[in-house]
Amino acid sequence: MQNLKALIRTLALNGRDMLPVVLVVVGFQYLIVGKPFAEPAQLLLGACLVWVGLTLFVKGLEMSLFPLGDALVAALTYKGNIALLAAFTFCVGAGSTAAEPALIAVTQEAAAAVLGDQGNAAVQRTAGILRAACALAVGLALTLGAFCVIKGWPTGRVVIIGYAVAVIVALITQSPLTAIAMDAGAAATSAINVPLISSTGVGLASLIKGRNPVLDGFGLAALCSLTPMLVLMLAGGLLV
Amino acid sequence: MPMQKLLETALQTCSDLLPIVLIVLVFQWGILRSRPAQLQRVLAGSAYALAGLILFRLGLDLTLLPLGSDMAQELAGKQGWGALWLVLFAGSIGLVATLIEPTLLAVANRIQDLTGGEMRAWDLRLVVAGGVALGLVLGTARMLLGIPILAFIVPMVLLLLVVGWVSPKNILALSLDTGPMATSVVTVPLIAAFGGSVARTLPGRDPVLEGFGLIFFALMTPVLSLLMFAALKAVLSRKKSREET
Repeated sequence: MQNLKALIRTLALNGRDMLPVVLVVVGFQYLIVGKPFAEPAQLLLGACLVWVGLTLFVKGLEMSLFPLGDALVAALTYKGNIALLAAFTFCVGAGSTAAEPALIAVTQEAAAAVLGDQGNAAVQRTAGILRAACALAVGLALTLGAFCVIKGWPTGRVVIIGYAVAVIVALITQSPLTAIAMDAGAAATSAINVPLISSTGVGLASLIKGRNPVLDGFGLAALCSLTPMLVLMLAGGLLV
Repeated sequence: MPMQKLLETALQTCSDLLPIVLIVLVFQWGILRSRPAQLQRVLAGSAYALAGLILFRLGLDLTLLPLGSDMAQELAGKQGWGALWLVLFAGSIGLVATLIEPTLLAVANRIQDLTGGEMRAWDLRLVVAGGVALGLVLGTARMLLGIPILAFIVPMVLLLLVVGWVSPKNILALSLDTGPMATSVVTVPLIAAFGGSVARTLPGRDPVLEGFGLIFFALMTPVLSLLMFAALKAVLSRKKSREET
C-alpha cells in the first residue's frame, strides 16, 4: 500500500515534468507549422510509454545500480587492493562505452567523413578502431578519476585543464572532425554508465577519511566525456 | 510495426546493458565471492530499470525523435525572420527535453539526498535545462549564420577556465558533471536528429560535417550556467550577510 502510494506520487511528478514537452510540441505544431499531427494515436501511445518508462527506469536505478555500485566500490576499497579497484573502474568505463549506441552512430559518421568513398568495409573498420580508442579512453579516465578521489586531487581542475588542451588541439589541427569529436565525448556518457560512474566517485569519497562525497565525489563523469573527445581529435588531426 | 520496434528496442537495450551486467557479476561473484545485500530488491530494481529503459526509448522513437526532426525541417525552410522560429524551437525543446532526462533526474535526486536537501533536485534540473536551452539557441543560430564552430567553442572554454577557477571549490566538479548528465538518452538522439535535419534543409551545408557540434554546446552551457548561478548566489549571500552585520 505504501509502495503503491509512492508509485502514484512519482508518476504524478513525472507527468508534471512531461507536461512542458507536450505543450511545446503541440504549440509549435498548431501555431507555427499550422498542420495537424500525422499520426496522433501513435504519438499518444509513445507519450504514455515515455511516462511509464521514465518512472520505472529511475525507480529501478535507485533500487539496483546505485546501491549495487556503492556496495561494490565499498567492498573493493575495504579489500585495500588498489590494482583490483583500478581494474574495476577501467572495466566499467571501457565496457559501458564500447556498446553505447550514440557513440557507435557518431564514430561511423566520423569514419565516413574521414574516408569518403573508400567503401563500407573500410569505414566500418575505422569506426571500430575509433570506438575501441574511445572505450579505452573512458576506462582510463574513470581509473584516473578514482585516483583523484583517493589522493584528494581536484578533479574539477583536471577537467577544465583538459578542455583547454582540447581547444588548443582543435586550433592547431583545424580538423573538420573537431565538431564530431566534441559530440562523441558527450555521447560517450549515457543513461547506463553515468549512474555507475557517479556511484564510483561518491562511493569512494564517502569511504575515505577526510573526503566529502559532494565535494570530492564528482567530476568523474566529466572526465569520462572529455577523454574520448581528446582521442578523436588527435585521431582526426593525424588522419586528415 | 510497433511490435517489431518493441523487439528491436528490447534487443538493443539488452545488448547495451550486457557489458555492465557482466562486469558487475564478475566482480561481485568471481572476485569478491559475496552476495549483494537485499538481493531480491536489487534484482527487482534491475528488471524495472531494463523494462523502463526499453519503454522509454520506444516511446521516444514514436514521438520526440521524428517530431523534432520534422519540425526542424519545417522551420528551417522559412525565409528571413521566419528562421527565428527555428531558434526559438531549439531553445524550448532543449529546455523541456532536459527536464525528462532520466539520468539527470536520478542523479539530481541523489545530490539532494547527499547535501541533506540543501541543493534541491528541481532547482538543479531547472538551471541545467535552462543551460541546455541556451546552448541550443546559440548552436542553432550559429548553424543559420554559418559561423565557424571554433568561434563559439574557444570563448566558451575560456569562460569555463575563468569561471571554473574563481568559483567556489565545492561546486566546480559537481557542475562539470551536469553536462554529461544532461546529454543522455533523450537529448543526444533528439539533438542529433534536429541538427542533421537543419543541416540537410539549409542550402549549401554539408550535412555530415555541419550537423555536428550542437551536442557539445548542450554539454558545455549547463556547466557554465550552473557555475555562474553559484557565483551569483555566493555574491548575493555575501552582500546579504554584510548588510545584516
